[in-house]
Amino acid sequence: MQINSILIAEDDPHIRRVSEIALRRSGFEVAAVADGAEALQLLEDRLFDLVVLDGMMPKLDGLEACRQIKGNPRTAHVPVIMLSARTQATDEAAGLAAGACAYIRKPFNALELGDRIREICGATA
Amino acid sequence: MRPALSLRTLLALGMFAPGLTLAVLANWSHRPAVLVAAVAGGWAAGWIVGLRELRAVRDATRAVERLGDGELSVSLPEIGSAEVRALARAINHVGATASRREDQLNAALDDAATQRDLFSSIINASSDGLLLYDTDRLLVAANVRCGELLGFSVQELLHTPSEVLRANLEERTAAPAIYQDQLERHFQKADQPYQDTLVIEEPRRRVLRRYSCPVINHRGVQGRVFTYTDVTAESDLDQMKSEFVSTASHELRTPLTSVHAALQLALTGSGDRLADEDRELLEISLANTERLVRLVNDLLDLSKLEAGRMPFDVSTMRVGALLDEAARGVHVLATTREARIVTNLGDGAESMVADHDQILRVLTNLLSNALKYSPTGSLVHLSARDLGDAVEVAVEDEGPGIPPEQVDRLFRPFSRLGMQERQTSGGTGLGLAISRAIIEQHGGRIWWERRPPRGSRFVFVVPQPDARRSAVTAVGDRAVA
Repeated sequence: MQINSILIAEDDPHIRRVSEIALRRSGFEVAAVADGAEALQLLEDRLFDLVVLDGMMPKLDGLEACRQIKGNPRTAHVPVIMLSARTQATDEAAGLAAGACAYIRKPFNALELGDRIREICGATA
Repeated sequence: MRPALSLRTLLALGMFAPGLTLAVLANWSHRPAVLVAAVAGGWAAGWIVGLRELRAVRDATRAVERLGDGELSVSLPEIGSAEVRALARAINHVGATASRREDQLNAALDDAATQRDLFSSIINASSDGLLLYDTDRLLVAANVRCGELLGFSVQELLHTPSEVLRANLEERTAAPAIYQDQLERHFQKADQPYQDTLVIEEPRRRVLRRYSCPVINHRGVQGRVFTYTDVTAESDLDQMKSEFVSTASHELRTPLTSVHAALQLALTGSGDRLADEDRELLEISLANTERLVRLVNDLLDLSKLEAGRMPFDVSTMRVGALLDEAARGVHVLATTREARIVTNLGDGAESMVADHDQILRVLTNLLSNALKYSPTGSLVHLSARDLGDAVEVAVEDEGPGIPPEQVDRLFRPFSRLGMQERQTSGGTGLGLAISRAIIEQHGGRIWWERRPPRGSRFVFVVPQPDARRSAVTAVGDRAVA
């Protein structure tokens, strides 16, 4: 599956900004928002090839946002990757159950982020 | 009393004979009146003497009766005939002996009571709970503290039927389902001590360390004594420490993630625009950020392992493949150190049941330590062998070894030998502490020993589940049959 555009939702402004820069430098077109609710709002206007969601966010967390994306027929086909500082196997299982195709653990390697995403999407395509 | 009556008659008759003899000697050929008087006189004298004997015998009889009733203070006058005197003496002797024995017995009983009181004072003064079981597993002693800890009075502990007591206790524990099994383990090896932890929820939550050991005398095992130590405060403190470290690590990760990523991007994206010195400064920042990330990750892992919250993924793996994988993982370091890793798989060490990633982490840590401390061009030996109910793995180097005063704190966090080495080796100082936590979570043990003639030998043992062991035993049995 060809990935060109990525929507990333991450509440920490610095991580959001470096992720955005890292992904843009890897050749993606990136939109970055601070919360799950904002991500859903943006998805109503336009579709992205991939959504990256942080696990813990203040208004609407990543798990719930993922469920809503997968529950909406218009967006259900968009792959979702979860981003989390948590490393508990149970949390990852919950993310996968909510419909995410993979988990990327924080702290991630900014230089490898783009490649990881291509790898994951290549494998799931 | 019939015996006394017949005795009296006999004595009267007996005394008649000397009276008659006297009469004959006095005047046999003269008057019959004298004869009668002599006979009567003799008979009367005999009767008087007989009466005295009779009274002595009666006294002796009463004395024996009193002795029989436990009244031991007899003292008979030694009068009368030789036989009666001997009888009195004998009875007096019996009385004296019995009386002395009674005194000794009383002293012993007093002693026993004192000892019992002392014993009870001592066990009741203990800040730990104490229970004593006999070999039939009946409770024979308990102290007040034990009652407090388990929520019973001492009387309840000692006088409630054991199965009722066990059922009541079981309900009060945090994990009633496994209570019985855990208790059984204490009795499994009758001549060995055993220790575990028991969490009681009622009447209030307590974490108890339960230690038991056999009571042994010259006749062998006489029972088992249990000690309950209240470790609630320590356990709570330990949990608080783990939670604090865990939260702090989590909180540190977020800013570190952005610092790390930002430095990486700045260094790689700036091309030639950076002055050499600026690039060097950024590289120093990046290297140290990476060290911080490793440190935070290791701290988080250690706190999770110690709190038993690290998820384990146990599977059966091939030992040979595991050792090779570990050796491959440190290949780069081995090349830099110009050292060679020699793998040796002992007989039978084929498979192991454990968490693959965690055991690999331990091996990687031990191997990289061994390589770091190895002289250039030396060998590092990696070996495994099957112990039947466990797999033993060892990593040996030809390095300088560990100074004796450092051995005890080798597996403690941040106990690396030299500060200098910590700065330059890039390690976190938590590797051995994490390794020990991983092995202990597997129910195993890890230790260091000197490797003659020089060097270190790190060994760990991972116990294997019963299923694997019984499979091995079954094969062995078949071979014998």
